[in-house]
Parts: sequence; C-alpha cells; structure tokens
Amino acid sequence: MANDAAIRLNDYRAELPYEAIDLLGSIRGWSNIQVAIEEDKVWIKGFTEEQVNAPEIKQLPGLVVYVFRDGLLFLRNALVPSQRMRTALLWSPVEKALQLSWPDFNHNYFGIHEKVTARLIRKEEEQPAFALCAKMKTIKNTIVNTPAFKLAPLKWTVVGENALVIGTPLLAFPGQSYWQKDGHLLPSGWDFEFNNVSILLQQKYNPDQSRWLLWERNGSYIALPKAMFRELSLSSFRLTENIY
Amino acid sequence: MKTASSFFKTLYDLRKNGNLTVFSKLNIVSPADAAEVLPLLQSEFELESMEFPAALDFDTTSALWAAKTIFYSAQLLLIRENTIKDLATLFPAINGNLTLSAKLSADLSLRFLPEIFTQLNISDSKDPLLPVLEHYLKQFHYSSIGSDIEPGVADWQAELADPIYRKLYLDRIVEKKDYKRAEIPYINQLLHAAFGLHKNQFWQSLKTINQEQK
Repeated sequence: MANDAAIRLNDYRAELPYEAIDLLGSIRGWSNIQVAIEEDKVWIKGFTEEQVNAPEIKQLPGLVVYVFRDGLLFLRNALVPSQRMRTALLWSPVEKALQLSWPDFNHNYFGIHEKVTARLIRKEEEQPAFALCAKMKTIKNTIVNTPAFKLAPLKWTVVGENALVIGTPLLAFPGQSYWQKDGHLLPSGWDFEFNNVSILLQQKYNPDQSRWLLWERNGSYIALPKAMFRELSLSSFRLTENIY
Repeated sequence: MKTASSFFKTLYDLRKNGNLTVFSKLNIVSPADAAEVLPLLQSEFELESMEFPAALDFDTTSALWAAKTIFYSAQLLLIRENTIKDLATLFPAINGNLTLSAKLSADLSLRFLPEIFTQLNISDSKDPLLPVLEHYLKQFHYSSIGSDIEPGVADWQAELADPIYRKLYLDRIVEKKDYKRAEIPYINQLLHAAFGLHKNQFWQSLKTINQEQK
C-alpha cells in the first residue's frame, strides 16, 4: 500500500532492549502500535511518520529505529541493510502486550480521613433544562397568562421565596435553570468537578431516591423531598402565594 | 334537622362527584331551594376562579338559571309524563348580553349538559327538548367544547376578543381534545402559537390548518 503512494511512507520498525520494556508505558495509548518480544529484544512496528519523531519515542534508551523494506532492515538514511527481519514473530497491540497491574495495597496508609469536597465547575456541554428556579414575585404576572395545559405537566414547590418548577417542556420564565443528572439538579452550564462523585453522592445523601438534591454553584445543596412537589396550576400558585 | 332539597342534593353530587341523581317524580325548584343552592354555586365559582387569569364576579342569575336547566333536563331524561306543555316554563330563554361572568357562572352546571344532550338524543332524536338544549349550548358554546354541537360562531376573532375568555377557551379545547374546534383556522393558529416548539408533546395528532388555504 505504502509502496505505491506518491510520497513514500516508510514502514518503521524499532528495536528496544528487553530491560527497557516498562518504559513503553508512555506510548501505551497509541493504539496503532504493535509489539513483539524476541528473547532479549522488543520489536515495535506500526509507527506513523509523526510518532517516530515524537519525543516519547526518541527518549527511549537503547532504541534503534529501522526502515523496513523487502524483508530487510535499514538504518534511517542508510543505503545498505543492517540486518534481516525475523519473520516468526508474534505481534500484538501494545495495550495487550503491556498488561496493567494494580500497585500493592498500602497497609501503612493512614490518609483515610481525608475528605473530597464536591465542587461544581463550568462545563461547555449543552444539557436540556429540567428545572427552573424563579422568584415568585417575578413570575406572578407571567404565570397568570400562561395556558393551563402548559402548567399541567409540571410540578413545583417553594424554596425560600423562589418557586422551583420541574418537568418538561419547561416554562420560559426568567430565572435560574437546572439540568438533571442522576437525581441531582445542577445549575445549567455547571457540573461536578469529578464525574464519578455524582452517583456516590446520591448513594450517601439520597439512598432511597426520595429527594431531589438541588445544587448551588458554590457546592452546597438542598435536599427536597419529592413528595413535597405539587402539580403546578394557577390556583395552586395563588393559594400558596396567599400563605407567604 | 332540615333536610336538603332534591335540587341541592343533585347539584352538590354533580359538582363534587360528577354524579347525576334522577328522582322518580319531577320536583319543581322553589325559591327556597334556589336560595339554598346559591352559596354552593358561589363557593364552587370561587374555587374555579382561582384558575382564571383575573378576578371575575359571580353572576347569580345565570348560575341559577344553568343549575335549574341541568336539574330539569336530567329529570326529564326519565320522567316524560305530561312534560311537553311545561317545556316553556321549565326552560326559559336567557336573554340580554351574556357577559364573561355570566358565561363562566353558567358553565359551572352547563358543562354537564352535553352529556345529557347525547343521552337524550340516543333515546329519542325527535324529542322537543333537544332543540331547546341545543340552543343553550350554542349560546354557551364554552360549555359545549368537546361535544359535537356546532358553536355557530361566524367571527372567532371577535368572539374570543377578551383575553381571559380566549385563554380559558383554549385551555378547555386542549383539555377536552376537541378536534373540531381546534381545527378552526383562527383557533388552530392560536393553539400553535401557544404550543410553540413543543406542539408534539402537548397534542401530537392536532392538524396544522393553514390560514391561507381556507
């Protein structure tokens, strides 16, 4: 394939002493690389032109890069071959050849009381809005003229002096919108700093899934029992408003 | 202990549970009975008016007239002995300018009328009561949303000029999924404007009527 290309692409092979095999960890993520082990040497193939010049390759100690042509190995820019390529090699992808192993468990580690704080950071991903938090005073005049069928699929509750409306399709009122993730209500455009804390936090603070956890940007949350939410209607809104 | 009149019982059961009681004998509503029912209707109206965009007054005359209409028409479903001569007295015409308050106050009871109309139509489609009820439902076409009775409105834009009425009218159409009225070009246009992008979530099978193709 490469032989017939207009610009000749070299088929690179590299040879590395077996002792340095662990150093290949730096290129383990390159899925196109294949590795074969021959006695005291490691053979590597499948480089692209960019990869062979990359610092990750150049820094490997004892590495010799050859160009493979017609079964022979040439040093780069050499006119005469250095050696013949062995044929009976078992090639395997680099991530298979270099198996990962977990470090031994450290019995002397006493840092188990350390705490991780849940922080929210800005995320660019677009998420559909699921909840809306708006001041009751602000939406009072708008909600009056909103058709009843738009309110019917939604549920709401009162948080402080704000109305928290959840459901879709959401009302287009001014206010802070939230998106839903595993039972958390996160401000639109914000997400947990660490993706996997989301489910852990639910398991810890909301084990029976009976609440919505409403998050603020500063990383604090309010747990709202789902049973507290009522169907949104004009009369529900008005009667609540009269109490407050 | 004073027992409630059959008029009160019927209206109470109708409003609270949606059941209609039919008695074995035609009871004529006395002024005392009417006075007893009025507070019930008024409190029902106040409950409903929580859903109205603006405060509206309760129209006593029209609410009472509608309550009587529903009561008598329910009784006449079964009791047809010597009733034809009484039709005019039992079902007086309501005249004058029908205000929004009147329409909504009457709707408290009249919304159950299409059901009775259908039953009556099944048992005898030549019943002399039918044209009377049909006329009422045309007059109070807000209450007949969801039934097959033609509202007989020529200019919908003028009819629904009041924003409160318009909102309630559209709400009722969506609630009852009244295809006939929703496909009236002017109403269809209003509904689409209200649904916006989420039309399919609210009412997927509603056709889009293009005003130009009229």
